[in-house]
Amino acid sequence: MALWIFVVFLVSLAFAIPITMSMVMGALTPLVLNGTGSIQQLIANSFSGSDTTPILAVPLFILGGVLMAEGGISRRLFNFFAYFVGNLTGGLPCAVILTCLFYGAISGSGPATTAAVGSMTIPFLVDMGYDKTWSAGMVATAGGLGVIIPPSIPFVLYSLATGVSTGSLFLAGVLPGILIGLFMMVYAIAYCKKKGEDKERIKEKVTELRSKGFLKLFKESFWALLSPVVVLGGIYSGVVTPTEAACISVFYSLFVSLLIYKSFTVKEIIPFLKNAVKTYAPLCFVLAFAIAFGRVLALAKAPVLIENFILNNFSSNISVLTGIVVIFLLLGMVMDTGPAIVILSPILLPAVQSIGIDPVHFGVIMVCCLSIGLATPPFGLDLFVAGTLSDLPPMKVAGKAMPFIYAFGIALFIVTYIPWFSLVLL
Amino acid sequence: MNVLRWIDDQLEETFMVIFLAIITCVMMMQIFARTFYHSLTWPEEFSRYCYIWTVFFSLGYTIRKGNALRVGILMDMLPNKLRKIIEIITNAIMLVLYSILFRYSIIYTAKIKITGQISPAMQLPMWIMYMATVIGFGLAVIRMIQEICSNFKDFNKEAETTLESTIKEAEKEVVATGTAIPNKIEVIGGDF
Repeated sequence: MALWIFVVFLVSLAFAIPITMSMVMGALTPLVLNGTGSIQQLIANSFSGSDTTPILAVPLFILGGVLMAEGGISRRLFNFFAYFVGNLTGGLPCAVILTCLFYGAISGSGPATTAAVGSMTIPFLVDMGYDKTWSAGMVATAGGLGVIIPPSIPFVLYSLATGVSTGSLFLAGVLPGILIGLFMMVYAIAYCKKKGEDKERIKEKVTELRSKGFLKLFKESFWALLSPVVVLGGIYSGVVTPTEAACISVFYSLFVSLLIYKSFTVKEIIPFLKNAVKTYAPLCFVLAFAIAFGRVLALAKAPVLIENFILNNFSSNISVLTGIVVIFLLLGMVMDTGPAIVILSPILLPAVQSIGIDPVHFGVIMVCCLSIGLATPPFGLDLFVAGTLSDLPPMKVAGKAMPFIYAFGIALFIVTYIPWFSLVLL
Repeated sequence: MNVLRWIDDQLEETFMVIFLAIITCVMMMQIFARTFYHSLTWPEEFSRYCYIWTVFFSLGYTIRKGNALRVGILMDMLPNKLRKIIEIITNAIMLVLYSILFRYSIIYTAKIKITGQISPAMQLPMWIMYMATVIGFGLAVIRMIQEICSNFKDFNKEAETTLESTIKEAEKEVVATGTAIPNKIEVIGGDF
């Protein structure tokens, strides 16, 4: 029966039927074939699937990210990092990657990170004499860090689908995110060493920046730097739940943008709300129904079948993990991150847990793999965002992004095989 | 006429925007109340129910805006005419499914009404919450009929590929940061 459900589901997906309706078709299969289950039960499950408080973190984090994107926060962060590392070889590209890392701690989404950081840094890097395509490729890949560094929407989704604590997942994402950022910086520095840089222009610019004085720069970027402290600090001190932290991030963004940076006015809030709705509306019913679909699959014993399949065919943890990473990487290329997480994680988790892999570690692996998908052809959204920003064809950007993706990939394998990176902070 | 156009364009969107604003404000109020006074019983349940309405409104919204998540890579490879025909068939199947779900959501909601179940915190009758399923699937049926009509109307137009919709989505992200888009991306043959 489980097999039939999968077949119907996959065939529906192949015919470009929306993921939600593909799940409905899959869930109705047992009813059609041998009369088990009921449509009313399905409706009740999709209702109760949305009737939870943690799920509210998704729209709220998305709204917070949308508000932050407008705030000119990425420019202030970049200036702050450029102050320290600007004069070193490859310093400015590293400052861009650092900005992405830190921006990821403000926004929970990859494309939003690419758009916010890239809109300001790509023209700047080009002005400093760096190759435009290379700069765009770098931002496209580094944008993926946005979903690994907490707060992160994919982690919230994984937590919803599996019941693993959102707070633990957020903590677990910190070191892997930094490690991936480091690997990308190593490549960026090597590239700059080989190609050479326009040292004089850079020096001129950095001196100009430094003449402002550290205090002034710190004052300008203070509110941006404080944002992750407020959100993550709130969660880990136990003052607020992740959902409430998401709500606070919305009001913090409003406070900073309206009163401090004055980047927009109260009248302009409605378009931001519309934008947030547009971003999460496609996810809403996928989330609600993934839970109902998961129950149907569990009744059909799908998780047990997969567990047996893995236990019988793979001898070691390393081969299981490698297989899972490869599947997720391929999946990330054609499917959106959200649905992939909420559909697959409940099916796969029992199997990987039975071979002794920590559920938190598994979540980190999944999110890292799928976030590379944002920067890989054919449909990596980050590539298209960077392409739009720099007025280049996305596939040209992809070419220059490849070395960064390899660097990301190496870090990913380290994170996968050494659980220490994900689990040490817990 | 203007009213009809407004309903067609942004009925679901307006409700979803309002619900999002309410959820945000009510949750913030709860945080303040808990910190300075004591925790209130109703805000959490209230926000959850607002979200449930959002979820069911999102069905019609995604059909209308054409932004439902799907895996389009295989269909992109087919010739345009064949794609259009398959699209009409799959849309018709979905119309049937939505109609079935609509019918059963009425039956289910009626059942809940008879039981007289009320919500734990706000003491509101549960059938009012379950009306979200009826209205949500109902709107989905209407939007699906609209969609199929426009399928026939635009039968001779080129179908939108996953590539084009990804470009649109990327432009949306860029516009959100307040940056002007330099030029529309031109997809040059051979890039894929």
